[in-house]
Order: sequence, then C-alpha cells, then structure tokens
Amino acid sequence: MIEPVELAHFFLFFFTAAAVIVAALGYALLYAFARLYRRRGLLRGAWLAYGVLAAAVLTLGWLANLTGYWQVLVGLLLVGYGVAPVLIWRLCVATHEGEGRT
Amino acid sequence: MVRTLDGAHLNGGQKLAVKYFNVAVILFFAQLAFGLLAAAQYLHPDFLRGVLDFNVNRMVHINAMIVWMLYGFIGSVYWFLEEESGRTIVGLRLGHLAFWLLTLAVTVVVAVYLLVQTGPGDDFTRWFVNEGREYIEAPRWADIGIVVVMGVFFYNVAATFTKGRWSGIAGVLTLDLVALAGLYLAGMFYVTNISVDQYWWWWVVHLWVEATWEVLVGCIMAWALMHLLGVRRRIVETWLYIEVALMFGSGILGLGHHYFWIGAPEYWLAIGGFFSALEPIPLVAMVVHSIYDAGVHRLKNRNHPALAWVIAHAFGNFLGAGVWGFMHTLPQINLFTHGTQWTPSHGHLAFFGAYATINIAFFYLAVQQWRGNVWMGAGLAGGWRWKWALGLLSVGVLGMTVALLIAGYEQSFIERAQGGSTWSAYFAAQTHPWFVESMAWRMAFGWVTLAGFVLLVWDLLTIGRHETRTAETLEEEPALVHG
Amino acid sequence: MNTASTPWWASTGFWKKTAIWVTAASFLLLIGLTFDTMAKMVAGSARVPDYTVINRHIDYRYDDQKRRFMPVIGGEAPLFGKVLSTEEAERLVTLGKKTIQAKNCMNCHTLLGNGAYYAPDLTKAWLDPAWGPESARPLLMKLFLMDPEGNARTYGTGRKMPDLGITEKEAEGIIAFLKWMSAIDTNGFPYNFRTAEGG
Repeated sequence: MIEPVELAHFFLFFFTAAAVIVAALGYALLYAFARLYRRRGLLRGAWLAYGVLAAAVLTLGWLANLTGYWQVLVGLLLVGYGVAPVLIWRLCVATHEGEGRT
Repeated sequence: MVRTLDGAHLNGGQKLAVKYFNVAVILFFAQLAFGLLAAAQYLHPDFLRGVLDFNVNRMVHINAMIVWMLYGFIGSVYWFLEEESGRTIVGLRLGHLAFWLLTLAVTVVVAVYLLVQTGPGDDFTRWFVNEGREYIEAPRWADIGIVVVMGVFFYNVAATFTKGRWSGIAGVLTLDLVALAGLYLAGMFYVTNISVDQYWWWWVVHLWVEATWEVLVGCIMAWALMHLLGVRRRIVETWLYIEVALMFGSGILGLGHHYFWIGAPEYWLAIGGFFSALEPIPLVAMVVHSIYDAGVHRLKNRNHPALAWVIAHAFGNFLGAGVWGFMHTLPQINLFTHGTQWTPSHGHLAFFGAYATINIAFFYLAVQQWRGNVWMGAGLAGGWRWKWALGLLSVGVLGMTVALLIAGYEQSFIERAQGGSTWSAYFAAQTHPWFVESMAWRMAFGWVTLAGFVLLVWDLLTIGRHETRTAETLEEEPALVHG
Repeated sequence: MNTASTPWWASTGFWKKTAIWVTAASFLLLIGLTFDTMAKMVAGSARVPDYTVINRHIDYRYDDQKRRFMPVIGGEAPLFGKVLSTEEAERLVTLGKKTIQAKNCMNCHTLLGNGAYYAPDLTKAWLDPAWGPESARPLLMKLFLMDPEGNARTYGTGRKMPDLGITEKEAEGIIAFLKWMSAIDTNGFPYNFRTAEGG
C-alpha cells in the first residue's frame, strides 16, 4: 500500500518535507501582512511562497512515491495550505466586524 | 519599597493555583535533572550503573514532564476560575485536599520509582511499583488516585461555572476535562496482546497530547489573551471554537500515525498519513490570526515576559509540532524513522513549544498579580533576567533538538535502511561518530537549558520586587450568560 | 450574541456547532475504526497470531505480492523442546508480558518501535541473527536475561543491561513473548530486516 522513500532520497525528502511547512508559514505570513498593509509587493511575495510550497509538495509526492489514492494527499496539501490563509484572513475580518474598524 | 509576594492579592482559586505552580516548577527541575542524568549515560554508560539505571532516569524524566505540565494546566484553570465564573470556587477546601493528595501520591510514586525501581513479573508490581508502559508508568493505585483527583478538579470547574456564570470558555473547558479524564481510563487495564495494548496506550498518550491538551491550552490562552491584551470575549470565543474544530478535526484521526507498525490494519497508513499532514493547519490559522490581531488592534500589553513566552509558544509549536512533525509523519518515511532519535528530537521541541512555554507565560501572569499587580511593561528593573532565561531555554531546547535530529537521521540511514534494524545494525549506528558527537552536543545544550531554568526561577522569585509602578488595567467584557 | 454585520459563517454560533459536529464525527469514526481494528488484532487473527505460534517456526521475509516484509509461520519448532497447549502458551506469554512491564524494559528498549532508544528494538529480537542458530537461541537468551552483566556484549558502546533479578521462569516467559511478538504482521516494519536464514 505504500512505496517507501528510497535510501538515496532521504536527505532530499526531509529537506522537502520541512520546506512544505516552512513555505506554508512564509506564504501565510506574507499573505497576512500583504492584506494588513495593502501592499501588492508583499502579495506577490506570498504567491511566490505558494509557488515554493507547490513545488515542494510536488517534489514530496515524487520522493514519497505518492501514487494511486495517495495522489489525493498531494491535492489536499496544495489546496488545504493554499486556501487556509485566505479563508482564515476573511474569517478574521468577518469575526472582528462591528468593532469600529475593518 | 520592596513588593512582596503577598497572598492578600490573590483570590481563593489563585491561592490554590500558586500551590500547583510551585510543585510544577519543582517537577520541571526534576525533568531537567533526570534528563541530564540519562543524557550523561549515553556518554558514560558506567555512570550510576546499578544505582540509577537509564530506564529509571528516563522514566522519571518523562513522567516529571507530563506531571509538571498537568500541574501547570490545573493551576492555570484554578487561577482564572473565580474571575471567569464570577463567584468563589464551590469546593475550594476539597480542591486543597485534592492538591495535597495528588502531591503526596506523586512523591510516593517517584520514591518507589527511585528506590524499588522494578519488581517480579506479577500483578503486584503493576499495582504498586511500576506499570512499565512509557509515559503512564504510574502504578495502578496511583492511576486510581489521579482519576479521583481529576474528578475533584472537574467537579470544582463544572460546579463553579454552573452556580456562577457560564461562558464559551467554560463550556469548552468542561467538555475537554471530561474527555481528558475519560481517556486516562483507556490506559488502566492489563492486556497480554501487545498490539491491543499499544492501541489503547496511544489513546491516552496521543489523544492527551495532540488533542485534549491542545484544547485545554486553547482555553487557557483564550482567557490569557483577554487578560493580557484586552481582546474582546466574543472574538476570543469564536476563535476558540474555530481552533477546536481544526484541532479535533485533524488531531483525533491523526492518532492513526501511531498505528502504522503496531499490528493494526493497513488502512491506518492512509488515515494516519492524511490526517497528520493536516495537523499543521491549525498552526497556520494561529499565525494569520495573530498577525491580524497585532496589526489591526492597538493591543496594550501589560506583561512583557508573558507575551514573549506566548510568542515563543507560537514559534516553538510551529517548528516542533509542525515542521519536525511533518518531516517524519508520512508512513513512506516513518518506516525508517520510527523508533530512532527522530522521535525525541521532535518530542523535545514540540513539548517545549506547545506546552512548557504556555505554562511559563502563565507563571509570569501569576507572579504579576501575586506581587500586587506590579508593572511588567517596558523599562522593568532587572529585565535582562527574563530575556536571558527565555533565550537560554530556547537555545538549549533547540540545540538538543538539532543534535538529536542529526543522530536520528544517521540512525534511520545506517541502522534502519541499510542495516535492516538488526542488533548489529543498531549498535553500528550507536557507535557512529555522528551519533556519538550528537549525544555530546545534546548534553552540552542540556546544560544550557538548565542554566536557563535557574535564571527563570531566580527571575520568577524576584521580578518586580523593587518596581514602584503598577500595571495598567485593561477593560474586559464580562462573560456571556447563556440560557 | 453577534452583531448584525457579522455574516453567518463567521458567527460564534456557527463555529460552536461546527466544533461540536467535527469533534463528534471524528470521534464516532474513531470508535467505528476501533471496533474493526480490535476484531482484526485479536490474538488468533491473520495479523496477530495465536499464542501457540511459539510452537512453530517463524521467519520474516519479503512478500513480492504485498511488496513488503511479512512474518512467515512455518512447521513445528517448539520452544524449550516442549509443545505447549493453548492455555500453557498463553500463560507463558502473559508471564513474559508482565515481566517486561515489571522490569520497565520499555524505558531502554523499543517494542514495536515504541519506547526508549538506549537499547535495541525488540520487535524482531527473536529472529535476530546476533542470537545464533534457532537451536541455541532460547538457551543463549535465557542465560543472558538471567545474568545480563556477566554475558554482556556491548558492541563497543559500553552499555550493559542491568541485572534485573529475572528468574528462570520469567526469562522463559520473556523469550516466549518475544517469539510471539516476532510473528505479528507489522506492515513491513522493520524494513529490510534479514533473519539468519531469511537472507
């Protein structure tokens, strides 16, 4: 049911897995700051971070042999970590409404 | 003028909380001391052999950690219980009695661990000496005692809220405590079948640490954010529910990542892999939300050390649980990392980041009040101490984490993948220079951690002593009354 | 109590309900899976063998169809030269399990990969080539367990198992437990483990 990571890919795998989460953090940070300060440059940085995230996820899929139904996980990571900051930001704005400023 | 730590500044619940915090700090020291002994035995295997063997030191190390964190959580809840419920605690005397019972039980259990250590392979040993299951080694009599004490704690929380004011935090907290106590029962029976044993054992360990503890901390944080930064109640409570949905949604079935190799069916590979890949999402949510809060609101911060520790919590949790967790959680790689120093590498940073930091933040909140709402903002006299304590503890834990990571990487490579996990492969990995040097570095960073701890205790005992200013008060919304 | 401007999807009430439903659904799913898993892990199932497996020859080999390592149960090979009945086997393995708990083995060793990392993993200890041919294994293991310091082999680490006062009967129980545990199907963990004969 699983095809283990190859020995030769160990280091690359750990590096890529860390990159997925770090890029997810970078994307979330940049996106939030871009919205906060309404800066297009930061927003471009956020998309760049998402690009890194996507590349890392696809590399992870290759290194961990995520084939068959495991491909769903790749999709889930791409979509989940992609939309989470956007949705959470909208939720922040909406939950804080009625406080006198938006 | 010298400000003293004066009980007159505290309400009934807070006086009880302070007792819990005192024992928590003592147990924190025990965690570090026995961790250092165990670390030293990796370098000098003859050190204390036959007196305090590795298994004894390691058991006290991890048990002290679990118990000091629980003491911290219980203390934190007692700390805010009266303010949050708007009345005095229903069974305060019972609460004090339960505190002394628990502390006596912990003392006896540790004394038996150290002096008796092991026993013959019969039921008596499991009931009165040592259960021999990692993290929940406490003998059965102590398990029953813990459940009784948790029952008293639960009664105090539920009854105080019921007779006083009920709020969203109160609701989540009460239900979470039911789950917390209920899950402990899953670890209180003997079974020969080790696959079944480990299946239920993980219910306690995982569903405590990666589910119910997280929500408990969420409740404590929710209250602390209102108190520390003046965030409004409605918002805090909405976000508490959002975090509960995200944490339980990913964390409950994330349990599957412990069922890969214990004899459980293959579908756990997929369940564990999928859900644990989603476990960092609540962390992303926290990051985005904290930026929003920090940027949109002009938040007043009345306690700099506490806020600094909350920030350390955010980073530590993200790195330890998020990055370190994800690096080895998929079964495709966990096949090689399982049972190596990868686990303690992840464990050290995740426990520190997720739980130790929050307890320390709360200790600072408590000390502030205890000294008569003393100023803990900018320009605090002797402010270098808390900063250095924070720095040394963080660098110490991060250093140990990286050292163990290198050891774990080497082990997964040489012992697991190449050597096929035989005994000779195990020892080949243990004697490899990468491993040996990593253990030396881990020891060195352990001493750094201890230095940070010493400074922390010194600071907690003295901070604000010579401070003349009083902290500004924040407006807080009252609890919402439902029903 | 939400202000009128808050949309429904950001209201406290909506998230309260969501939190409850998500938690309840996850927990119910876990309960369902637990029932299924318990049925599949009972001693005597395909994954976790009956305790009388200690009367049989056990090996661990790569399964081409499943593409992973699997325990292989072979012909008769009684432990300590005696075929045990179902009750006797269970009693002996139970003694072993209780001893393993009583001696706090898990705070140096790992079992099924869980525990501490100061001493080798015990998951497939019964099959480990370091313990020699199967004919000598039970005796070597027994002698070691009863006098671990005297029979220590530290492989250059200097680490020695302490003398835990293990009796002969307890040692036999531990060995029976280890033999039974080595026959559990652990989804291919440990990877690439070669038994003395498996190769």
